[in-house]
Amino acid sequence: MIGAFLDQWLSGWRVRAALAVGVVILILAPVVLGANSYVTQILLTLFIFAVFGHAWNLLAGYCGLLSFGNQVYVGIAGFTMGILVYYGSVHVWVALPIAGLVSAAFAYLLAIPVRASRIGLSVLKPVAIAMVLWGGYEILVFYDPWWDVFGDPYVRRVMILLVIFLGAMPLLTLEGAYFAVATWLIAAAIGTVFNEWKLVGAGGGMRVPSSVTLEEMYYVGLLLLLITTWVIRLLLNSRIGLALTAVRDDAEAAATVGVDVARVKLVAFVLSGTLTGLAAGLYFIEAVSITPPSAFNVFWSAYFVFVVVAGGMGTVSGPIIGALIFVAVDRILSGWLEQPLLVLGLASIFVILVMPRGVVGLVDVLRRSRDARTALQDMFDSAVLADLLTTIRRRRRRQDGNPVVSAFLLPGSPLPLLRPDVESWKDLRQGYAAAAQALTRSRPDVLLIYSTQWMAVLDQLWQTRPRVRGIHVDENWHEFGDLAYDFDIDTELAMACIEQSGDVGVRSKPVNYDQFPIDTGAIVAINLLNPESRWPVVLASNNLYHDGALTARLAGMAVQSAAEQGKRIALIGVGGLSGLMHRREVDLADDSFAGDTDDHWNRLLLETLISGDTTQVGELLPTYGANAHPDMGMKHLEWLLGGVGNRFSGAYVHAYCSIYGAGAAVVELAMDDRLARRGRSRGIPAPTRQRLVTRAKAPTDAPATAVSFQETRAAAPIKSAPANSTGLHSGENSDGFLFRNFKTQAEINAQYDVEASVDDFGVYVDFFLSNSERVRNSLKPTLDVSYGPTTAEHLDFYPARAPDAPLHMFIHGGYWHSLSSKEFSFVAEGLVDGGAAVVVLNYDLCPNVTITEIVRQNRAAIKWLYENARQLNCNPNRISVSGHSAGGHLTAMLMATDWSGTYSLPDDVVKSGCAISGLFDLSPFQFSWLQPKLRLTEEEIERNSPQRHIPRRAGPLIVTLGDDESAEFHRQSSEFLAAWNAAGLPGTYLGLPSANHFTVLEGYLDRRSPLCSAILAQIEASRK
Amino acid sequence: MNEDLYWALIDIANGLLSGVMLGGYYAIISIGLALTFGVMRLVNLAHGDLLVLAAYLAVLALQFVPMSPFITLALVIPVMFGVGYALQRFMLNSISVQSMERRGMSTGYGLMSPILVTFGLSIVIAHALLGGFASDARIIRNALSYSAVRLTEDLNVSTLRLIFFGIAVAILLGLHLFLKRTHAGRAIRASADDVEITPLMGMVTPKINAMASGIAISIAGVAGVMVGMSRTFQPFDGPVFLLIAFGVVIVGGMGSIVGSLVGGMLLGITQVLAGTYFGPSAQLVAGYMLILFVLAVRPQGLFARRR
Repeated sequence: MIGAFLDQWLSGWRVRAALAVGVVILILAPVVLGANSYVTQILLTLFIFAVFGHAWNLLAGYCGLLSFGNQVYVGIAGFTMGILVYYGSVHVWVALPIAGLVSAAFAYLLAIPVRASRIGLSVLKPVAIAMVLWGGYEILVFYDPWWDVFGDPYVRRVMILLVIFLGAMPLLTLEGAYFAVATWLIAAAIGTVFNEWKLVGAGGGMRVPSSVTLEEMYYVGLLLLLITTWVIRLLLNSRIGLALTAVRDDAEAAATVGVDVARVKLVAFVLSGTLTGLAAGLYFIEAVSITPPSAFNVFWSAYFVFVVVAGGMGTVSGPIIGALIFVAVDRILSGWLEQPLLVLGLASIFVILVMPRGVVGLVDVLRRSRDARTALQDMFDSAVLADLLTTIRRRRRRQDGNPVVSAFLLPGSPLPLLRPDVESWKDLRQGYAAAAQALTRSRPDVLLIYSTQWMAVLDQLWQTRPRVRGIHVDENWHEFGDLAYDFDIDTELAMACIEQSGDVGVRSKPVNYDQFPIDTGAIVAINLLNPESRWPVVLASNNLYHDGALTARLAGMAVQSAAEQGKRIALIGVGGLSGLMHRREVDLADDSFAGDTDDHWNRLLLETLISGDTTQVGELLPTYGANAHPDMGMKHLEWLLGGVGNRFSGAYVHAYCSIYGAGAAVVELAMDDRLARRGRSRGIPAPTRQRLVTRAKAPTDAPATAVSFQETRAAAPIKSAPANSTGLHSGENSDGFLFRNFKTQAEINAQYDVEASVDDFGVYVDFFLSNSERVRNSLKPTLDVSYGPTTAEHLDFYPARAPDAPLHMFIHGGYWHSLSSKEFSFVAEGLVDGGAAVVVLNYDLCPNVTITEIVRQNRAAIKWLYENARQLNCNPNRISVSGHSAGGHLTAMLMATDWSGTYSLPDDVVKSGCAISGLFDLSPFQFSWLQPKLRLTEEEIERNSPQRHIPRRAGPLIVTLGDDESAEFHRQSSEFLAAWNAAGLPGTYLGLPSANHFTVLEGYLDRRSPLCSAILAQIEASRK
Repeated sequence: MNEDLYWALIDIANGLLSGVMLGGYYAIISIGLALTFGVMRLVNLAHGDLLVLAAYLAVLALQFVPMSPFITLALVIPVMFGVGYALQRFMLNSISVQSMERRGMSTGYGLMSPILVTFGLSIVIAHALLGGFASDARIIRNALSYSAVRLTEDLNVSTLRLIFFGIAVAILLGLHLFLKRTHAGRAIRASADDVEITPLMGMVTPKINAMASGIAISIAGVAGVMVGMSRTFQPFDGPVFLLIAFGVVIVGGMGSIVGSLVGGMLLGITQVLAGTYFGPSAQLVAGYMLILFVLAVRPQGLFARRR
């Protein structure tokens, strides 16, 4: 409101008119008020300090050069005035421009050499010339002392020496604090010499007598300010201005695009010196007397910093506003209080603490505020003081019991955010708005967010980057637009949670990326509740192997950590209700529940929540989970209940409806009787708009084989996309089958979801991890050897016991989108024991890269190994590969590579291969939950399915998999092996009884195992 | 031996000796600044004033209980530690480069804000001292003021300076051991090396910074008592020490403990020799020239750690 008003008001002609009126008033002021009035004098001071501010701002605000020595021009210009007026009887208005010129010359002297970064040979010649001239001058003075304008041999010599030295010093190449200190020292050094100089009064100073009136000074000052402002505006809008901004933001980048950084800095530096000199000249005409200690005092710099920072650094109007504040504080207020510097000192602290971005920054804050009430809050929040007060408040509040002040269950679907136009989600958006209000009222310090959509496997992850911002593209709903986000993380609390999670038996680790792990759910929740990042957040991942009870304990731990830090917590669980979504395209306006009974179960759950009976909720959840296929088994709800604990007393349902078939509700958990009562009396809100259309035909139920919570991840829709999208459903058979005889995504997923195919995936993970660590420690590998240009292209090398060893490369699995070489270090054990050197390959993952790129990296690794085998003490003619799962696919791709044609390697560079639980036909995955990550297109599938690229010649291949693996895995392997053998290539099948997708790898640990000995036999056969 | 040559040599030897002694004293004045500058990347303009504050604190203590000025350190060090800790924890941490960046402001603000705040603080401290002690020059009386240790007949060194040098070396050594051997010390160094990674390793940066600041200011307190014992001081003397401290930090190199000792000695020797041969004013100018020269040829300082 305020913002809109300000923006509208301060635009176009109004600004210009206001400025014109202002200037006219300033011109008329002395006439109206009388030439010698107090106001005139104050205004003159204002003009002078505004010019000082402009000069300093030019360096700091636009060039990033923080000068702490601009007072050197104050002194030099002041004494130039003094000498000219006192000894030369020059009129002050003539002396003033000369003082400006002398300042400019001195600035130029400091700025050169412009390009040398150190005192080097290039400056020796001018220095030598200067020394010779100096010598000549000394001789001249020796014969005729009249030439000694310094009037003192000591000052003369030191001054000339100093000038030569400063001329040779490449000041502008210094950066940051070094530049600040250097300029300060220069001012101090020059000041010290002036202090000794009898000609200028030797510390006692001199007078700048003149007969000019205040009125004259006033108009000169006004003119100087107007011209300065105009010149700076002009400069900023010119090429140089753009260059200045570029240099400030990133000098290196600016230089690479052709900005002459040195020249731009030189222009700004000399201009800044000149302006400071002119303003100082005027200042001393008014002040009449000048002394070296006062003229070269570092306090000047503090004044300049104050003027610019109080006004707003890097803005044209900042210095003028700052000068206004300075005059008000330093001249008027201190005058009353008779404590000149003290008031300014306190004001400096105050300015930084209350408006660190100056007045201009504060106005910006006000502009962005929505209304007057939040404006005040925003002003407070923008102040550093807010930090201090919160710190202090927290100390007092520490250990006050459960710190949860509000708790919300929020749907994480981006649709209501991306499609605000869709009528059927209006209720939901209103619900979100109501929740945002409730959140504001609860005055939290931090939002503790658990999003079911940030899925993690190995550890519990916590975001610890202090500020994350970027653009997120949802995997499923990308065609509706991007999700921008920008929010702050409470790293202190996140770190505490990581430290404490051991208490609940969870291994946590921090992540510090601002892009990929940030999930849609968290972004949606934050964008709708906390769009201006008023509160920092803590983001916790959803580890797929944590059950509801563990999630609840985790929340309790996080809440406890917050209590220890004295922070008020808003607890947020992001996720939906029933999980089934429409699998066919539906009109968004006529959204409805995908499952027939979903609405019933959702309502039952909500009613139970409203009732506030913890026991009932606990009893209902398993039944609900089995019937409504809920999002992640309602772990987001368990998170909330775990965090709220026994304070849970009911719920208030702000909104409830379906989003593309799935259930969604905005629910506020009640922790006090009032809200619980309101929740009970309101119940589940009825939709505001009656649905006119009959429901879409209920889809066939998901196959009865897998109704575990794991499987519910499958709820990610295979949606029929709008016309402009990739045409995912083009592969759908005319008879309604997606792929082969699979009708639904869930059916395909059930076949390929290897993690769900075993009972305790966690055990296998632990087994892999612990063995890998053990093997890494015992075999002394060389880790992370780079084999290509990107960071993910590295491999771990496990040397053989003997030289000239065969080299075996293992390629890990993980559906091309997860895991790394490190989880599979254990594969080296048996093979190294059998005499081979082993390479465990790492490669980049989807969706970061495509499968085509992964294949390329694998091939590049072979080329690298072939070329570097000798250095690794291995035989380049005995390279073999094996791989598991996706790695089996890559093994087959390597076997099918045209090595001589594409890589100029021997055709049989890969002597043999072993594909374990391999995937040779990629077409099913476009219909699976993996599609958002893999982003398969027909072209990708064609190019990268080994099934379609059986080579004409290849080494022996072993195809193997666990007997207990799914039918689809068996089909993949057997069809591929059949095609391989049909082409007359040597291929054998190795059955591994009673092994599943994971235990099939155990054989790598023992060289006598069927798997390991088969691979070793292949390797042995390559000996020539 | 030629009489003139002898005296010339004695002059130089005396100059070198007192320069070295002065260097220890300068090192103590500057090490706190080096620590704040090196760890928190902030320019503390109130460093000199805090040092003067400590001198007044010792004066105050001696007014109540007559004792050896050295014993006042037992009061000055903890008080100054608290001042430094609180200053960092409750004020400077929230305006550091990182927290300004968190507010979406440029690095420039992060550098400028502490400058302005500490400038304000410097003025406030000076005025508070002016109010409490008036502007008379003070000195911390002690028995050693005028005594000297005679090395040869013509070569001697002030006892006080010698003691200060010893204290300086002891403090620098202690600080070195603290930074290398203790957990807190390592945390401080880690924070100085990479302020973004340190919190990821489980360190609480605000507390590390506050601790570093506390140590820095308590060493400044020791320096303050030394200053008070060897020369007169007034409430507005802060900037003088601040500039010396900056000089030493720049000559020696940021974050280097050996650097501040050697930097202090270099500055001390340069000043004493220039003073001996060209008069007292040349003392200051020569010091500035040395610092500017180092800035020009090796801005990171003579003993900067390799990155």
